[in-house]
Amino acid sequence: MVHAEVVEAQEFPHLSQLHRVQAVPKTIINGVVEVLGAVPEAVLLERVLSSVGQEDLLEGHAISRPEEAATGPTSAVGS
Amino acid sequence: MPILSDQDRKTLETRFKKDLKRDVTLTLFTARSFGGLILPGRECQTCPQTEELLTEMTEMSSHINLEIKDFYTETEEAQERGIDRIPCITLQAEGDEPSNLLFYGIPAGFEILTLIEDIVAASRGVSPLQLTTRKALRKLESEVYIQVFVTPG
Repeated sequence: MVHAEVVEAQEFPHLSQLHRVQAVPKTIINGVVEVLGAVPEAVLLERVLSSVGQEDLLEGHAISRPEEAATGPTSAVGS
Repeated sequence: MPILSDQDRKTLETRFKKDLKRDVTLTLFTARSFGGLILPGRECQTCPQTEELLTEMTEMSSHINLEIKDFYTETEEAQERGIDRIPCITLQAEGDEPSNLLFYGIPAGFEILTLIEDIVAASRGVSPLQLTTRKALRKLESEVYIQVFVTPG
């Protein structure tokens, strides 16, 4: 069910541009979900499961979600 | 001149001797040259070095085999596997299905370590993932397609 590709960003500039790769590693899940940097395995798993709507498989693991932090109360200060 | 240094070769030979159990076949999809000629539109700058690097790796262990396919004339397998650019490396351990992992581009610099770890994992048939991760992934109901962008570093 899981297919993975390692893409050398400099050799395939059109793909890197398509996914706006400005720093590596950058992970794209199902062409849309972006994960920046080398994140812990549990975080990547959470992003994979949420990309297909199966977060229920997480078995209650507490995982911080950077994108929620970015849109949470802290960043709302400037808005 | 070889790509891997003598020191790299020694390190790899030791690692492969210690950790490889089953044979692993690497398949390289590449643009073959015809008597040194590459047809226009089929240039592949890193294909020759990738082939050289993988050939050197097969010399490090009798458990590693290399199969070379021309992307433009041996199209069936590439199409079946959805391979749409080159160089592309896939791997398959003896007795297993082909791995769902594709390497696009030359695994140069630190990226060679990723390929080596995957060869070892495939050869031993042991996933490096945690048990909870594997349990969750086994229950996936739809296909997941992961692309990791890297640079040689």
